[in-house]
Amino acid sequence: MNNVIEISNPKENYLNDFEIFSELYGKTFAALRKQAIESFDKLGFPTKKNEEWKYFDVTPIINTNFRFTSPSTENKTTANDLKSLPFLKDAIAVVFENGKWNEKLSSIKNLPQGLVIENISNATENEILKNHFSKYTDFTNHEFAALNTAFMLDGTFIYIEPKATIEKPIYIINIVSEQEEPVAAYCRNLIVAGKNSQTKIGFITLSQNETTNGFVNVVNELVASENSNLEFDFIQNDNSNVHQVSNTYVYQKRDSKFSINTVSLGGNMVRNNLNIMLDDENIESHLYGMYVANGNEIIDNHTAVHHAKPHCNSNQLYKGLIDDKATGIFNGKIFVHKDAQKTNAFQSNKNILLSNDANMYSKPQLEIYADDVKCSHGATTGQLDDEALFYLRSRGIGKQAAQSLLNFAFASDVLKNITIESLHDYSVNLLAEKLKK
Amino acid sequence: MLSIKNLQASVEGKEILRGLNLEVKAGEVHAIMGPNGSGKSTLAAVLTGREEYEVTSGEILYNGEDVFELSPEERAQKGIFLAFQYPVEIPGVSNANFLKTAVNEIRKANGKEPLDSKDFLKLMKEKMAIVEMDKTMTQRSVNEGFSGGEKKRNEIFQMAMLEPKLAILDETDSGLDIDALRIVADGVNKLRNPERSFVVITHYQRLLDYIIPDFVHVLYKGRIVKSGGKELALELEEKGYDWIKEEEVA
Repeated sequence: MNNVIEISNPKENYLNDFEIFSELYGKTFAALRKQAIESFDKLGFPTKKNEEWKYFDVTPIINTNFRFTSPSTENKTTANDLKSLPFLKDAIAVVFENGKWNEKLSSIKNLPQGLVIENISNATENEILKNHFSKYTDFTNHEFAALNTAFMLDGTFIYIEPKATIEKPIYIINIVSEQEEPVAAYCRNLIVAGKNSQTKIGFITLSQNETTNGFVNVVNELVASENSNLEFDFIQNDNSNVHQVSNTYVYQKRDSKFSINTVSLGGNMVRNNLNIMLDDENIESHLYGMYVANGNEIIDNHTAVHHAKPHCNSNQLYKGLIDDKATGIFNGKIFVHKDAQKTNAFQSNKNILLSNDANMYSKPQLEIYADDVKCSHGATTGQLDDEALFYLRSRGIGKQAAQSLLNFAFASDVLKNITIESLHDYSVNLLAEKLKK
Repeated sequence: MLSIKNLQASVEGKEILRGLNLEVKAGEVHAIMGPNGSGKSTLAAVLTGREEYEVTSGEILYNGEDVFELSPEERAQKGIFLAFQYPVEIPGVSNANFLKTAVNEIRKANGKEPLDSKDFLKLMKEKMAIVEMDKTMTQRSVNEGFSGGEKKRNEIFQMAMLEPKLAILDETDSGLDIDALRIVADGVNKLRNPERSFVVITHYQRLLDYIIPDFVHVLYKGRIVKSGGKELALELEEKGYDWIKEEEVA
């Protein structure tokens, strides 16, 4: 366990830290970092008065002095820390420790044709990276994305060349390791799927051990070019001390298909902001989410889907189980812009509360400015299905076992959309483990 | 095996069963017939332990044991099985996984070792044949997207797997076409044996052409008002329930 120091003025603390950080390690993207920290200075940290953060009180995150990682920090993780991920053997994998690239644990040599993977700090001169990096990150509005842009040390850059079909899944891993002081891990991923390409990428965040303390701040920028097909599976499996705030920005071009599975099965306070821009015609987007919160955990998913052009389809399904004194939050916005005729946009959020002290706040929001569209949204929060429970019990299955079976069935249903088999199985196992707690 | 004495039960304050008596011995098949609203399904619900039904008086002894002391799962573990009128869909739970859990929970409660996957598959294959069930149905989620006939067939398949001592069939025939009815009835007949008793609840006599009962009882206004052999069913088919009602009034 490490020393937790409470700080009185979190904003000042981060601004002071940036002075040090930019001086020592901020040579790359210096202008961008400066812009980002200025944005953060303007925004400050969100309070509960901010409608977007009403139920997610960031105080525990910002009052702890999470330290940025310096490039000279020695790696503390070994292959042993990845043994829960046996599928990494012989796989394409990029491994980070607290946002810092771990070259030894990564395996990005002998890549299939059409695939470029580099750590961002090595690829700063890459033209594709230069064209896309931080182009989609809205740090003028998103406080934590601003901090990520200011403090990120490294990250993953993946480019799939036009027409390339990458058969093997690609894994990005971040481990929060045990340090003397609680650590801030800035994770940054830029993925550019070229025209007509096809890829599946899994991103897993985990902690070195049960007592590790830290804060994971993620920014994902995902670009699906014309007629590309991209799947991004985001598995959050940190221990119950670690906090995480992620901002994911997806930008889709004509005829592209994108799907994301956000699986939140670990972490103390987890906030995911997912922004999708459908900026062309005939685009398909699938957003799936599954979360289980117990103890005092808080899991908050905010999605914003922007339909900017006609003939696009988006489909969202988020399912959650909330137990003990935990809190779940879902806020899903769908914007259908004036030109986006013939839009189909669907959204569904289903939750089961497993205890009387559990809370769920679900808020679907539609803003439609076009007149020829099909949109629907719905949210349900309830208890377990009594009929199903009785049916199982009438077959000799005890009440407890019947309940677990139903919980598992309810939640695992979403996981079938993860088409990377190893990640699907991994998530199913994590779910089963989490339901035992 | 089953002894019901002066059973009175109500749901949401409304009295449904008004002093029902029934004796079922091992190996017997009893048909319970009656018009809608006579209390047929309430009887099934009370036997299997649905909490919404309140028993206000009377007793049910199953092999000498007071059934009301037992939870639904304990009743199942001791060999009571209900084929549901409306089988429940359970998305995300495969039929095979569901049955493996059920079979092994029942085995555990009876002090037997759980079946391993190999033995379980063997058992499943053997029982599938009884209701002409194909393999894909066992891999699908329990009853999800099943047709009416498939759902009822699945009930009988579950019955075959769980090998109960007392099976209650709640309107298993309703809504079935003749082919499906034949498969379901054949399945039941294959499972008849001297140790196993059946209570067949039905609205129509048609089912009893295929499952020949030893006794037929007519349930009306929460009481058994007439009992007889299998001929009684034919008489009911011919005359309808009205003459029973008239007899009752007289």
